[in-house]
Amino acid sequence: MTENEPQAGLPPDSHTDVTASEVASYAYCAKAWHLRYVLRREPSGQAVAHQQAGVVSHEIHGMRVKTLAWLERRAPILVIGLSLLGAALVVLALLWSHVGRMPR
Amino acid sequence: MILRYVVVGLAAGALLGALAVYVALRWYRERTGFAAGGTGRVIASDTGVEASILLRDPQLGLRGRPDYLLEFEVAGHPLYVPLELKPGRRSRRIYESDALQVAAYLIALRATAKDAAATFGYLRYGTGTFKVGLTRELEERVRAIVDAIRAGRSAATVNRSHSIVQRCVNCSVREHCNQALG
Repeated sequence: MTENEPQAGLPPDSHTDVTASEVASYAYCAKAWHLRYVLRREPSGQAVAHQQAGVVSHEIHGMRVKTLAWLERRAPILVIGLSLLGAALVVLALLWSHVGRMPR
Repeated sequence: MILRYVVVGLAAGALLGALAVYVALRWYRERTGFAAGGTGRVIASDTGVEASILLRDPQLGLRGRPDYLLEFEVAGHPLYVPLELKPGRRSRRIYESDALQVAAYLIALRATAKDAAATFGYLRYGTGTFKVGLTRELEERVRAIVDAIRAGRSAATVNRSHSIVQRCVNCSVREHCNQALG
């Protein structure tokens, strides 16, 4: 996603590399690729807005993946623990009503 | 009596809590496209989950940073699989340009990870996840495009390579193009 931006730590001969994004851009349209990557024409305002929406979507996806990882680590304990607690409390409530009905 | 209602309320709360955790897990799995078990572990990402990774084929002069690099374990060995997000896409079929981008990652991954590189990657659209295999045809197409890009970098002009009006309508540099359709 950010592969076309200047990157520190790239191998010295990599600045002439073709990027995967460029391959996709060229496959879409060779002329559009040339205008964008070689002649450095600015994309339209609508395209920039679309691009920014894409960046936000990627960030949201990243946050969801982080949350998912957190949930996956804790879900078994949480689901089993809460289920056992709930079941124990149901049993306690049933026993309670049963004890309440017992003749003194 | 009131205490009994409190116990029943707590029991209901605990059971609903367990259900909520389960539902949340399903929701996040569906929304991210990362299904249970078969997804592998995220070891690199360009979305802030982990540090990003540069995949590079120095011989071909091809590089890329996939949105995610997943690690699966197959027969005790790691297998690395790239996943690219295209959340704005609402298509039921793979766009050729997206398939070529994943193929480019797979070629660069093969040079980077050698035997641990998968021969397939994933594309995650807004409508679902697609598997892209690195076929010989796709690889040849990527190589041809890499050569064409190298030639095009020193060219004064390059011609439009399609006759699809919708591509021009959706093109981000349409206003600069003297060959636009539609």
